[in-house]
This record gives sequence, structure tokens and C-alpha cells, in this order.
Amino acid sequence: MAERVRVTIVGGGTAGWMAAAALAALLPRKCAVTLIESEAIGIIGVGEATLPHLKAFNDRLGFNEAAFMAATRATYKLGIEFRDWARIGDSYIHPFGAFGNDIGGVGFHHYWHRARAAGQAEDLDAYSLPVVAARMARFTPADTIARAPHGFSHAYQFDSTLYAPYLRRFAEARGVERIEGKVVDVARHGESGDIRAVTLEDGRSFEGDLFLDCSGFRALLIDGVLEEPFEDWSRWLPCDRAAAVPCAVQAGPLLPYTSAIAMPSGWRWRIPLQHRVGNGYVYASGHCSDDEAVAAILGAIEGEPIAEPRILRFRAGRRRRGWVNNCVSVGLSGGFLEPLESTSIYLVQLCVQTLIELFPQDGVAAIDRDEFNRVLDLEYDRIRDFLILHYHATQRSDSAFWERMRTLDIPDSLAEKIELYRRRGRVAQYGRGLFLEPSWIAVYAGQRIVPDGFDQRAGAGSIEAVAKGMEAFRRRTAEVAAGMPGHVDYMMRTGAMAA
Amino acid sequence: MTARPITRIAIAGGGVAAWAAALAFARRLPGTQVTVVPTDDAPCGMADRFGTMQVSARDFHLRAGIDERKLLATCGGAFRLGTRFDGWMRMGGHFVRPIGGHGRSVSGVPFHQAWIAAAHRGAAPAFDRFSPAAALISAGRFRPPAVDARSPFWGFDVAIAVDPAAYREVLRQAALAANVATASRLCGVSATGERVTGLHGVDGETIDADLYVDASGSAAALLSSLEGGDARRDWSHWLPNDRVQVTRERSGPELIPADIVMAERVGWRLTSDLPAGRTIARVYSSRRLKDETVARALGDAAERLEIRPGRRAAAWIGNCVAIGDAAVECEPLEAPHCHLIHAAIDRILNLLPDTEFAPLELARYNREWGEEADRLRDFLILHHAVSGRNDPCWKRLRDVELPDELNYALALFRERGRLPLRNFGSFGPEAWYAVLLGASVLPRHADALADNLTAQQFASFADTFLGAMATELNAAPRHDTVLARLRSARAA
Repeated sequence: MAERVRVTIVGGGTAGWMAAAALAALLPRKCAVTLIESEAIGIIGVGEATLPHLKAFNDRLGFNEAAFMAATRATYKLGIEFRDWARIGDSYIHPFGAFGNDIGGVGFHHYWHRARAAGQAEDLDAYSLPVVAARMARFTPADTIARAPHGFSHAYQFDSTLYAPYLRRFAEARGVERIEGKVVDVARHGESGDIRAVTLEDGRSFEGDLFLDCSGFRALLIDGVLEEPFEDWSRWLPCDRAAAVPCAVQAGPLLPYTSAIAMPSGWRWRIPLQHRVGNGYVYASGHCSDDEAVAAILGAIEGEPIAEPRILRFRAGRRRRGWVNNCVSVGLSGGFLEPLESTSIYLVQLCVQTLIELFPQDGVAAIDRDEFNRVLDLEYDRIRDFLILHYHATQRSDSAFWERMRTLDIPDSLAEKIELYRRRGRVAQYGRGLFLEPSWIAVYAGQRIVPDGFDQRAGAGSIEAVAKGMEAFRRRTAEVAAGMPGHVDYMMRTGAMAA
Repeated sequence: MTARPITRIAIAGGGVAAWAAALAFARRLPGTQVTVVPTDDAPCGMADRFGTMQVSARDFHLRAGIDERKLLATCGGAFRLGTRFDGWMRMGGHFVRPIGGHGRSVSGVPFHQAWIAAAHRGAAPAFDRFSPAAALISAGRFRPPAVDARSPFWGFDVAIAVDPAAYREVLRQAALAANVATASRLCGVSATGERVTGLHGVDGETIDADLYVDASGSAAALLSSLEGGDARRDWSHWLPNDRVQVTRERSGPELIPADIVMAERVGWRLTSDLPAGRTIARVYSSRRLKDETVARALGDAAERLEIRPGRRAAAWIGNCVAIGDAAVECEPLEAPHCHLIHAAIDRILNLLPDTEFAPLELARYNREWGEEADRLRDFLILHHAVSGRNDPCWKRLRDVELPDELNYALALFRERGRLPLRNFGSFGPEAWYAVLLGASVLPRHADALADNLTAQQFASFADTFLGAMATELNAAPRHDTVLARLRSARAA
């Protein structure tokens, strides 16, 4: 076999250490990993809420769930609550699971629309086990429930400043070499333009066959050296700052879900962890000053702030290509989508996973790079549309920001999806990728888009029979949820709660 | 115009496509009146000649209220676990494209990747030896998939093949029982722009409907009468076979649960065995082989069918949607015809608009249907593009410039045994791996992950898996025996 591929990772943080840990664990004979990071540069650490895919990532690396949770002060997550989005006072949860079950190949939501129009159905939330359980602050993994009305998955909310060190210990134990220092210079091969080496402040130089740009928004290699253009999406997603401040945990149940609460010029996150609550106001600087944002978030949080508010700056969009020459951008250097649907860490994971699947065998093949970029493009575009939907499908006009988002000129790809749903409750399908049909239904329904009609097949049978079937499902869901352990109880039992 | 639900459906045609649609709509769209307007005395759609189905048929039949076991017994049917390809590779021999997967992931490495790595070391038994469905086919045996995932016979699936004429009759009887009406034979179509305004029967009646389904075969009598209905995407550049001659003879001594496809100097030959008889078809390009030559070889009873490989640019225009050969024409490789009909009917039901026929909704149908048809096109072209044969016709097919998406998929596969993640349509990645690796397209490398496996690890997996498979295989009954039991249970 050829010599090991020298992978040089520039930047630590969640992206850098996820990449390092996965490469070391999954391709131990294939690559030699060096990670260069500087303690002087902080990590962004906004992405504290994750998607169920992270469980697969952790499982693949062999992490014990309870140990990982205790180390990162993590809580379980069954979905995301959206409060005040379509109208002030609204609240719905986008769960990691479906609503009801299909009936004879026809989606449950068509029957729900029919019953709802006849005044014979509860809110959609009542037909989802993870939503009902989340509202009751109960948790147990789906595979531990004997007679679950339907399946669901779970994710975590964790302290990302603890996840990176957790990954680091794992990676270093598997041979990843960590170098402390700041990159000040980059050398390239004359002909190919590939990156040859990076030089640090102290003069040391590190060569590599493959470079991962995990330098965050600075995009040291992909932008600074390779000058790959950035595709700006701020005309659709104008939020460009966040004011973040953690606060103390208050008495009351520990919620197994993240909240995204609409604000006058954006929204704020609330992420309950074991030891604190993460908060942040994501806002559009054109509509709200930093001072106003800080005042607003301090006024909104429920406990004592336990750190000074920090202002983060970003821009929605992505790098035209994530993999250029022998450099792969992983994480924020490759693109940014606001954390409304907790996609940041997922996108890191997708980059890492796709890189491992397409890992160079003898030099970087153009087709592998193309495939990497194609996979990323597809996912970014779909997430973008899904995020825009949250803002655009609103009835709010109580601020200049919401007026702007409600009347936004949205991408054609999204306009078509919305119109298709509006007519007959149909969700544009795609076979793979993030946010499949149940997610779109959750948000359409939660944002008060009511279709004009429903699938004709759901018109079969009397409305009473349909309502009766739905009521039976709802009752069973409520019963099963009531039988689940409390979120904290479950964590105590499994050892996920830090001492 | 005020839109209302579709309540009257007229279906033009008299073959499997028309009666399958009639039955499905009558059963699954309560409150609709379905009328079949026959278009010919002897239905001659491809699905009326080739009765092998895909797994998709099971749900279709279930939802249409047809018991598949009964169907097998009444329609002289048999099980299908895949297709066997003879003489497709340079060295002769054969490989099986089974329904379902191969092997198991080995220490977290997907099986096909583990196999590619082993093949590079020169130490891998043929890819299809790891397919339980292929093992059953080779042994002429049949058993359903195991429920226990630890069994090597877990993870494949079962399709059926039936006598098409008997199948059509079952569909027709069931449709009539579900109150489907029949008109007299179609003799005219009235249409303006993008709307059919009425169908005329030879008895003088006019049939009005909200939705018109064109199941009239390749002529597409209804769709062609509409603006834009004649526009086609021609596939003959990649799929030049435009003739099929088909004949029936007595079955061989044993019925294997697969169709057999054998490469010939020009085109190929299909052998599909059912208890009641064997269907033989010669598929070829009329520019390379004279019809008379084929007719002489097959005998006087052979029936000749013409195909124009390709699809309509849009299958749904205004109030008219085409299914079957009216929408897509292709050679009967990998038994696509019944499947295309079932899939189109399901898609119509899933995306059924109202009487406004909003362009947005029709565009969605046409896009999904068009993508599925194009993915099938690519899968069919793939078979020709990867053959190892050196006859001039086959070589030309190997050298022809491929459609972009197929070209990309092949380039990626040749590099590292990966296929692009996208909607595959009817035939998923497992089917592609089976054809590619079966036809000896060995990628330059396996994925890096497969390098974690040692030769020893793969060898010990292979020994255990193949050993268990051989043992369990002997316990599976012969396919003929299973079918005979089904028939006698039916008779009893």
C-alpha cells in the first residue's frame, strides 16, 4: 500500500476535532493527521443543539452515550420548539419523527387536514409521540418503548466548548498530532496550485497531502489562499449577528427540546443543558443595533447571566465549492446557515463523512472532488429553502423585519414547494437528504399554511370514522408518553447526568 | 372555472395498462366513475406480452384488493428473484442481477466495497455468489426471505411473473366487479389545445370525463391529439434495439425463478419460463438484423413488435395522462413494463389534482415521472455499456457517448465503486452494483475504509457466509414444487 496520506487540519474547534477524531478512528492505516490550532483563537461554539445524525457519528466512533453526555453536560433533544413565528402566541414543535402513520399509502396529514377542516382534530402536535413526550419533559429512546405508536429519533443539546476537548482526547489517543500555533504563511506547488505546506509564527512548517480548512469564518485556506468565491444568501437570510449569553438553570423540569423564539428582528435560541441554559439572539443588523440586541436578550432570559454577552458576526451563504485542489473546507469556512434548525454540526458531519467516503486513494481524483461538492451543494440548497420557509410563512407584520420577511422574494425552488403544499397538502419529495416530508409538514402546519384541499383518497369513509381513528391514535400517544420516564430521571438512571 | 374533485375518469385502451388503471382508480378513488374505452381487439402493449413484474407490484395488488398468491395460481405464475445474464461478459459465463443485496457489511465496510478490495487482491469469489437470491436461482429453488437478519437468506425480495393474458383478465374481472363501465370501441377523439373534450365509440356514444387516461399503446391516441403531445425524447442513440419478436413454446424441465437474458451477436434473447409455457423473445436492431432472419429462426408463430425507444416529453398534458407504452417505449430488458404501469398509476394517485389541472401540479408529475423514466433509461443503457462482448454492435454500444448523468455515475464507480447519491427510481444501487460488478467492471480502488479490512477478515467472512448459505440452500424446496403446491392449494 502507498504511504499514509498526510492530512493537515488547520483549526481546532468542533469542526477540526470532529474531522480529526473521525479520520483517526475510521482510517487509521490510511492517514496521518496533524491538527494545528491556537489557544489564542477562541471557538465560536454556537452550535450547541444537534440533529439525530450526531448519534450515528458518535456511535460510529464508539462513544458511550451516557459517558459522552456526562462529559459534555448534554441533555436529550426530541425536537425544536418554534414560538411566536406565524403569530405571537403560537408554539409548535418540529420533532425528530413523523405525525401519525400513513393509512393505505396515504399520508396521515391528509386525513388530519380533512378532520381539522371539519373541526374534529386536535393540533398536529397531539399525533406525534416525541412532541407529546417533549412537552411533558419525558424521555426514553424509541427502541426502549414496547408498543410505540410510531418511531422517532433523538439528538443532543450539549456544551460545544466541552465536545471539542472530548473529541481531542479521543483523537490524540489515536495518534493525531496536535500542534499549538498560528498559521502565518502558506506555500503552494507551482504547477498544480495545491497547498504544499503551512508555516507557523515560530517558523515551523508542516507539509501535507490534504488540507482541511477548519479555521471558521476566517477561511484561512479556502478563501485566504485559494480565493474560492462565497455565494451570499443574505438577501433571503438577512440575520447576520447573534448576541449570545448563557444563564443559570432555573427550577423546573429540564426540557428535552430546543426553543427558537421569534423576536422583533430575528429570533432567539434557548438550549437547556445540564449546568446552564444557552441563549442567543440572532438578528439582522440592518434592523437592530448590537446594544438593542444585548438588551433584548438580557431581558428575555429566565436566569442570571453567567457570562458577558458576546456578539458574533456571520453571513449566510456558502463557498461555491467546498473542496478545491487539495483543500477541503469543513464547517464555517465552507458556509454558514443560521442555527435555526441546528444544522451547523450536521453540516460538519456531512463534510467529514463524505470526505471519508471519498478519501483520496492515490492523489485527489477530480471526480471525487466533484462528487463531494455535488453532495454538499444539494444539502445546502435544501436547508436554505427550509430555513427561509420559517421566516417567510408568517402572518406577522409587527416590525420592519417581519414585514420584510413576509413579503420576501423567495427562491423559485421554495415558491414551488409552498404552492404545491398550499393546493393539496403535497410535499415535494426527495429520496435522500435532510428534512424529509414530516419536517416540512411540521413547519407548514406550524406556520399556519393551510392547504386548500387534501388527497382525494383521504376523502373515503365517513368523517366520524376518520375522527374516531385519529382519536384512538392520539389517546394511545398520550398514554405511551405518560408512561415514559422523566427526562432527568432517565439521565440519572443511565449515568448521563454529570456528578 | 371552479375546480372540483375528479369524479369521472375515462381510460382508453384494452390491455394490462388500461385494466390495471381502471381497477386501481375504481378501488382507491371512492366516488369516481371509471369507464374503459377499448382501442383494439387484441391488446399489443409490451405488458401484454411480458408478464414479469418487479417488487412494486405487491403493494399495487394489495391496495387494489388482489391477492398475489391467488394471482400466481390463477395466472399460471411463478416467482422471480432476479434476472440471469448469459454471455454478457467477454469470457462467457453468466451473472445474476438479483432482487436485493449481496453479503453483509464486513466490520462496518459495505459489502460491495469489501468485495472490491478483495477482488483487487485477487481473492474474491464472484460477486453474485454472495446473493441469496442468485443462489436460489442457480439451484432452481425457492424460499421466501428469512425473518432473522442473521440468516444469509435475509435481505432479498420476491417478485412474480404471470401469463399476461390471464393477468389482464383478472384485472378486467376485478375492475368490472368494482363497477367499471365499458364503452364501445374508440373511433375518435375530440380535443382543443391542451384538453380532450370527448371520446367517441363506434356505437355512436360520446364519453365525457374529467380525466382521460391514455393507455392506448405506443400510438398514444389521446395524448397525440393534444398540443405538445407528440413531443418525444428519443433514446435510440443509446438503445438502438427497435424490434422484438416473441413466441411461445413448452417450458423446459425445470423452472428457475428468474428470466434469462442471453446476449447474441446482435441484440439479445429473453427466456421467461412459466408453468404453462415459455416465452422467447428476440430483441434486436432492425438496422443490423433482418426481421425475416429472426422470423426464420423463431418459427412462423412469432409475433413482431416495433419499439421506438424513448419517452414523451410530458406524459401529462391538461386533462390527459399517458401510461404504459403511450408514455415510455423500451426493450423488455429487466422487466420494466408492468412496473412502469404500476408506478405510473401510483404516482397519478399520489399527485392527483382537481379539475383545474393546475400547471404546477402537472409539472410536478411530469418531473417525477420523467426522472423515473430517465433513470430507467440509464439502467438499461448501463447493461449495454458494460458488456464485455466484442461483436461490432456491442462494441459500438460500449463506445457511444452516454447521457451526462450516466457518464458521471460510471466515472465515479470506475474510480472507487461508488454511485452518486440521488433518486435511483425503480432500480436502486444494489441493482447497479449487481450489473457493474457482475459484468466485471472493477473500480480502480475500493473506498479507503475498505483498506481497514485484511485479506484474512474478508476470507473468514466469505467462508462463514457462503458456508451457511450452502447449508440453508439445501433446505429450500425446488421452485417447481412450490408452484405445484400453490396450484393444488388453489384447486382444493
